[in-house]
Amino acid sequence: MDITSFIRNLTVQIMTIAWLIFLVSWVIGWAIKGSPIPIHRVKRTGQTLVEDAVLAAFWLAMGSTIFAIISYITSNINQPMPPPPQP
Amino acid sequence: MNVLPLALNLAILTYFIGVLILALPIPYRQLKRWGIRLLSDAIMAAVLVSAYNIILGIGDFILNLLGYSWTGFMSWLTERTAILVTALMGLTYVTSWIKSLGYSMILSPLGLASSYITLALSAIRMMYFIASFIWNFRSELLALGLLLYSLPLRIGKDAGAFFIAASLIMYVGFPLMPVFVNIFQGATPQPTISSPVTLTCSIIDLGNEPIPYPVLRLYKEGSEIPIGVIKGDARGKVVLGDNLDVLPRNYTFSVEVLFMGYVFKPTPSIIRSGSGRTNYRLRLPNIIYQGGLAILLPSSLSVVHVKYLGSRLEVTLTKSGVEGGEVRIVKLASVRVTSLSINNASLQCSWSSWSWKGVQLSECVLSLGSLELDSTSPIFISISYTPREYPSPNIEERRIVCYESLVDIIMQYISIGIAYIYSFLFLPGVYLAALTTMAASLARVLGGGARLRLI
Repeated sequence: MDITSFIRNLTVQIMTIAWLIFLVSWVIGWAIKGSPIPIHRVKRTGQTLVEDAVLAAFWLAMGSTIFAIISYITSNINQPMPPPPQP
Repeated sequence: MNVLPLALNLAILTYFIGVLILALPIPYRQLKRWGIRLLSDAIMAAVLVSAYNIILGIGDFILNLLGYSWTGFMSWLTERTAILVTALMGLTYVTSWIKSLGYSMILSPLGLASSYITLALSAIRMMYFIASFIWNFRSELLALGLLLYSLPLRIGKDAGAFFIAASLIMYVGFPLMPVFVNIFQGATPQPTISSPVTLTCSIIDLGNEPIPYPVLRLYKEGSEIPIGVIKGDARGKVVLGDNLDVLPRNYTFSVEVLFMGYVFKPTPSIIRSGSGRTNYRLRLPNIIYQGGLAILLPSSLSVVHVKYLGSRLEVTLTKSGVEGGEVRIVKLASVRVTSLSINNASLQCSWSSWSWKGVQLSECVLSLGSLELDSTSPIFISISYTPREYPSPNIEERRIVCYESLVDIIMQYISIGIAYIYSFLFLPGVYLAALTTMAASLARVLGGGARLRLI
């Protein structure tokens, strides 16, 4: 296994863990938010966790799309340049 | 190993690490910010990795736009190296020349100048190295920069950004160096080396024939101590200056000529440097010379006629005074006199021998008073002999070195040295520093100055 495929595997694993953590965060967030604790600060923490988890899920879902868009744009603007000068 | 896919994969890994941190159920603001920071880093790295070819092309595009090329820069460097090598050779020559004169105490400024030139050569060599490295390995440098830039958690972001910036800035900047140097070089005063004084003296005898290997002794006017002893060539030519002497400007020398062991006062006996005249004919009025034999005449006799006949010398003299005086015949010991006659009367001469500066000589003294000659009629002397080449005497030359002129020359060399340092060390150094600063600034823009704000 070369280093590139190792990094790819690592990326897939981290992606899977990230999805799991998103679920955990989302559940914990809602649990805190919906808990019968009449403290506004605790509720707000739960809200923040839910917001961050959703945002993370959004970027997680957009991951491949973002890199594809970057590749698409750069390959489109990558016009052939003049040849390098000879010594 | 292909670096770019690796860099892109590292960027994607960074992105997902960022997302992972963002998704963590830890309500700690700083940690979340790290996640967002990693996201933006990953996107920036991905953009740069994808724009690899564009970054490479931008350099050529800007160079083409400005109308400069690496070919021109390399030939400029070669030209400057040639100038420096020539200067170093010139300086080495001057140093060895001064060393040969024995004035070793004035060598230190020249040594300093040559060390500066060597330094400038080293600087050019360093520039060659950096320029060749950038020119040959800029794509590798850029790829390495991108790889470092893409490493997760900002491990190599600063170094990577600098590599990326350097690969672009240096590639565009180096070919522009000649323009920068030429603009500022024009402001420096160019030192002018005034041509050294050279005097040529032709030493001739009474009949305007050249005296071979004369020795010219020069005095400061009114002084008894000679300041220079210079030997001439076989054609009687003595050269003063011409990279052998450092003659003062506007100076008057009184001169004597040494020949066959005798000292003669030439006409004129004074020569001047800086008067515009560079050629002198110094005539010895008391000597008639041909093929290794000379007739030395007293001032009481005046010459009416001289015949140089190769193996015979004929001289017609008249007495200008009452007293007879002595006529000396000096010859090389190897010269064989076959006949000697005065007024067609054959004479026997007693030769006395001696050696002068390695030259074996014989001399015969003719006392005219004892010869019972008619005081009014001219005296006719005829000598037949086998001529010989006059050898070069073993005389130790003492070349003239004027300290004021020498200091002048050294000051001019020092001013050239300063101009060289300015043009060959200072300006390229400043430009290189400017390029590095620009690269560092661009690296700052890439590595943290212009951060993408996604949230």
